[in-house]
Amino acid sequence: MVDAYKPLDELDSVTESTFILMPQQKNGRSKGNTTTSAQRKKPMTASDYGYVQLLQGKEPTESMELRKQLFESTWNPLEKHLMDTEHKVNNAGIIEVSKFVDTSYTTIELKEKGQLSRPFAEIATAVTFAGVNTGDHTKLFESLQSQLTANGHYIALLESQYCTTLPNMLKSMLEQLYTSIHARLDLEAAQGLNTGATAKSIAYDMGLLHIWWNAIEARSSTGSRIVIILQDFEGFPPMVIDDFVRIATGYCHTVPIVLVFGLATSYECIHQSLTKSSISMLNVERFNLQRSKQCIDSAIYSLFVQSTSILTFGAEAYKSLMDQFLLYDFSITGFVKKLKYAIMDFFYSQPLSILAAMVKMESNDSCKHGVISEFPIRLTHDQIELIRMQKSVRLFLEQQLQKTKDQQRFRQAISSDEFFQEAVLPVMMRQLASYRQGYCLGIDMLLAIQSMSPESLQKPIRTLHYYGLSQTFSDCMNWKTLFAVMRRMKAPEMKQLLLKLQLSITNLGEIDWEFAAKDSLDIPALLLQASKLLEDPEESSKEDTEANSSEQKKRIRTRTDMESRPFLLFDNESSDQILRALDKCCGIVETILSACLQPYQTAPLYEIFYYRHSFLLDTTFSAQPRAAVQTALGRTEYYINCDCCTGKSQSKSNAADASIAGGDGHSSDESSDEDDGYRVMSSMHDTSIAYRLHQECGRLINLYDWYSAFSSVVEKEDERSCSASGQSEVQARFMRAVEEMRYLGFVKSTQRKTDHVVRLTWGA
Amino acid sequence: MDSSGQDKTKTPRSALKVRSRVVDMGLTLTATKQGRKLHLIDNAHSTPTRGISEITDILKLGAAVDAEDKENSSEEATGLRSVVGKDVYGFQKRVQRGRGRGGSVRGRRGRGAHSGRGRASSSTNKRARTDKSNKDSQMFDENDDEEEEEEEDEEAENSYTQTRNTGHASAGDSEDGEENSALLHGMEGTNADDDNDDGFSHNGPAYERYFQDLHSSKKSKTSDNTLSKLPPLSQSEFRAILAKVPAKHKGEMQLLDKLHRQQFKQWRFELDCGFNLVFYGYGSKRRLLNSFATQLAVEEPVVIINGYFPTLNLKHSLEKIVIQVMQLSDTTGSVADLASLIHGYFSSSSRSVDSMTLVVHNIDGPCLRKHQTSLSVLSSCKSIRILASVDHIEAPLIWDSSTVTRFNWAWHDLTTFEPYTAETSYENFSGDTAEVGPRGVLHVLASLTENAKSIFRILAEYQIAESIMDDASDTQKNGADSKQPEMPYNNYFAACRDQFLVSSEMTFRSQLTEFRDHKVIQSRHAPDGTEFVHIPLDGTTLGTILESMD
Repeated sequence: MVDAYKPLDELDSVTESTFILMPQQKNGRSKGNTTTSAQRKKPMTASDYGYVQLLQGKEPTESMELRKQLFESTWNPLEKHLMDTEHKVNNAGIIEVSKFVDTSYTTIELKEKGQLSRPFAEIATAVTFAGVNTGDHTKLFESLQSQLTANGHYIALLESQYCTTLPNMLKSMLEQLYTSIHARLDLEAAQGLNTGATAKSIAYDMGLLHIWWNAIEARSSTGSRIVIILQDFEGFPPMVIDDFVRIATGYCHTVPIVLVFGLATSYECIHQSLTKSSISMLNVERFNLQRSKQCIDSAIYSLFVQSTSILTFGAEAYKSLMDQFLLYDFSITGFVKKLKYAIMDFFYSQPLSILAAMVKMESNDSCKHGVISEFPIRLTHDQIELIRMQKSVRLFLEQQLQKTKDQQRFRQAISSDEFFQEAVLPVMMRQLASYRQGYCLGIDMLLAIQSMSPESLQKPIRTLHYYGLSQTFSDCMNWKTLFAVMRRMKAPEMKQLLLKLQLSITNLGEIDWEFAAKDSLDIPALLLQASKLLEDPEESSKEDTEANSSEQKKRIRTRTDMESRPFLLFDNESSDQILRALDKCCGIVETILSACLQPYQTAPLYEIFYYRHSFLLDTTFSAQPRAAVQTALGRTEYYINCDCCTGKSQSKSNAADASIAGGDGHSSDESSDEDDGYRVMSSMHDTSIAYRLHQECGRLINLYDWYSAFSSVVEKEDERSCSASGQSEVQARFMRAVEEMRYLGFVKSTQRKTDHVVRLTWGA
Repeated sequence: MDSSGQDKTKTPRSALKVRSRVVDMGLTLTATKQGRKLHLIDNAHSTPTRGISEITDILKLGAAVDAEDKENSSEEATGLRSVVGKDVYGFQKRVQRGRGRGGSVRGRRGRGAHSGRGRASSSTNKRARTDKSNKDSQMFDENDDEEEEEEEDEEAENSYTQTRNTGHASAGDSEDGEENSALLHGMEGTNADDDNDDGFSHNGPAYERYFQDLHSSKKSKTSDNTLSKLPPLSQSEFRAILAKVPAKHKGEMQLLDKLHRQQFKQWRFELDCGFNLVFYGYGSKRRLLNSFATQLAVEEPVVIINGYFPTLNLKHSLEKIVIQVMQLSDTTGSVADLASLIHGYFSSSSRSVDSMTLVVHNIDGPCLRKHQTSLSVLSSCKSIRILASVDHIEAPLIWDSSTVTRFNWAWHDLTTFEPYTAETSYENFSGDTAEVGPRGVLHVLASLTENAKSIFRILAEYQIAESIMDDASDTQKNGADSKQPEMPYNNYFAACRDQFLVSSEMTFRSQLTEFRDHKVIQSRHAPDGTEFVHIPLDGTTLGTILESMD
């Protein structure tokens, strides 16, 4: 045996790389050495899908069960909703493509049976640009496939990973077509197909397709096509496609083949990868299937603005969600993944997520006036206390106290759990729901205004929502621009706008106006007032005093007016009254909006229902393994909070900074400034010492010098602990540390100089 | 003179052999690959006179070695002579000579005496032999015209050696009767060392010198110390020592371990929700993941794949899954086929095994890097859950966007600070190349011709067959380890010739030498003088290597 290495345990071996642990009842079939391990394992707590009792384990089991139920009842419809949204958005493009497939080759008449005659051997080809979000393409092309199948075509959906060579590609294609044909035609008709296809070693050849097609034609000539979809065109070897196109051309007189290429980069890549002669055999039509932005917009509108989702995102978490989408890959899958994880986290680790039970029932019953139902189970004292501890709840109670001056009620809310759960909690939940309705109304109104403004000012919903979350109403520049647009509107436009606004209110259904907007603004009444003003400007102006009107005349001529309302100079038709009415309308709309678009921090219980753990999402989906390893080695205290490595007692360890060759003043600077954090201590992990020493080196590191520095650090350990570790121990530990560094990818061995390694990473 | 293509291909081999002789004289060879490249350059520039003088050197040296070695040397001599007649520019050769010398000295561990390798002039060689008695290790670094550095151990005085060495060099030069002017252009101390194969270090026309200067200007500032100053430790010694070293921060690590274990339930929850988990952070994650996996194994089959395993064959692992978990017998096809077969099984409604967990330690391991697509196909199946760990700091780069979507990872920081005992167990701690692991063998094989691979295969298959026979014959395998199956040299040669892999014994010899240089094949002389060759690996490992060669 060359390697005298002793395996650590039964799952490590010198000769075996794969181990299979079977559940206990099947032990007889599994390997002998796994039996013992299978017996040792402890059973997981049953009925528990990994949920734990929160609140230091004091959470009652029924709340835990409730959280589990709630997660399922929340996520499953939501997922379906998201998939529907995606499907709906993609559908337009898919229908376009399928229309193309339907109508391809129709100009050519069916001359004789099974013979299509065409002047040129051109294959109808749909080139679809699907965007860079390759992860979503599978879903997109699968729905294209099902759409085309529904239209009566025979489909082969090819992925590049199975089509590395032409035979592989033909095999994959013919197998799929065979199943698709087989599924359509009954057994008798498929007889012709069975001849070759059932045999084990079948020669996959396009000739087969010809035979099959004849069989299909014999049964029914329905005008179906053979559609071959190359989902990820860029992944295919160009030669394979090239050859395939040539072969297919040979059959396109007899078999109506339609190709669909899915592109992720640009249309150019077809010209780059295929030869001219094969491109000339394609009859190309372009389609754009990239719809992920529209999809995300509608998802955000329905989930977060219209509050289909119980959980919504706070500004910071929302930004991280959007950044991932916009700056990374436009991937809807990624968005859904993050959303799912956030909801999982919410119901898994937030003990108050049980409150969602109240909201859920409301939407189920579709009660009017947003009645929040009773909480199904009695909350424990701990849970109630936790709710009371939320900042927004305290604020809410104090506001109530101010409003009603009902000391008794206030005291009860604080002291009595029962009262809190039955009288206070529903009110807060109702208020939160109304706030979200009001917010939705605000965004709707903004959209209405936006739709009447120039295109350059139009922002997608995702951006509007972000503004709404992150900025207070008065600070947001975007709103101000929109209002400037509104102030330039003329009377007919304003009328149109007011109509739209009213429409958005009616669209929203019943709203509890008491809580929807700040100061219980009666929005419908205000809007009514505004439209009245417009219809009858004279009447309303009667209220104005004469001073006002004279002032008005003057105001038109002032310089400030020229800046803020330039249209007044050109617009001679509108009378002063109309102008004044317009002005008032603008004011009303602004008041309404400012009342609706309050920051979410004013809503009660926002801490619970506005998701804040953006850090968790970032570490889970945009993890930085390199940074983690570097922190572990360079700033060990973040992981190990030990006393020994902080270096309080280590004044004498200047030699520890002994730099290896190439180390310059760098180390001395550090030791003087922030000595504790940077000093290399003997008590640190060996690899950590080696890592810190290597940071002082240049590109090439001399192993011997590295070793010297390492041993000078390590030797101080012996002074203290008085354990005589020999030189060979230090050497062995050093080599292990270097080996680990090499394994982690910090250094690699080099042939440039004897016993040197090359440093591969730079920076902290 | 015969300078056919066959001879040309042979010369590098013979040069290698020269080197191997040197090695046999008690010098340790550190980097064999580098040596080979170097000699290729050397020989391209060799001249008749140089070649012959070299050979005589070899022969002289060879006298000290055993008989077999001498025989080999003369073989090389014939090989070398055949190059005679090729005209090569003298000054180029000269430089190469200096270069070669530096390289050769550096190439060994410098444990014992020094020899100027075949390339050195005879005077240098004499000196080298005298040095040998001193048991001083020496470094030859020829520097740009004025500077030539030699380092004898730590106490060697630089000024003294410099002058002395310059003397040597010039003496050698004048002896050859060629100008010094063109000599040693751009050969600075470090650069002479620096035998990277970019080819810039050649001496030559002005435009080439530009690149030399370019490279020499950023010469590294590291010292010339080598690990040879430390006593060599064998692998087993290393392990013995490291096993005794007490772990640091024991309490903290236990706490960390406990905290990580508290997350088991959360991981479980995430797995149930359809995420696959990938773990990163410093420290071996093997133990924790295995203990989590054994918990999961109560309910469903768990497959553990050690991605750090040097000769891991994913096809094997998948076949194992098909046979043991799915209990099918048909395991034909490629890795991708198997992956889609497993995917299909676990997506179908009529399956007997409901779900499966796949634990891949080090999914970034060298043998798994090219199989990420297949693994992602597996992971995209809803009833296959994957737990994976990554250790390389740039590991996320192995996944493209579609792979990563299919994997559906949730990342978790699992910093344990545990030593990578199992993961690095296949690495060579000591840097001593006396033993070559399976990974090394694979590496060597990857750079060889088909013929050479087949030559290797013959011996490997023989050994596998023998070892199976051994296992069958003697059930008690206590002392069997010491006696590895060996193949007589003559039989081996005959077998290779029968397969038309070699035409003459000379080609076979040179091929064998190459293997021997890389420690892939070892040979031994029986008391009766017959030579036996064997690969120092056991049958199972050889089997894996053979499969991954395809």
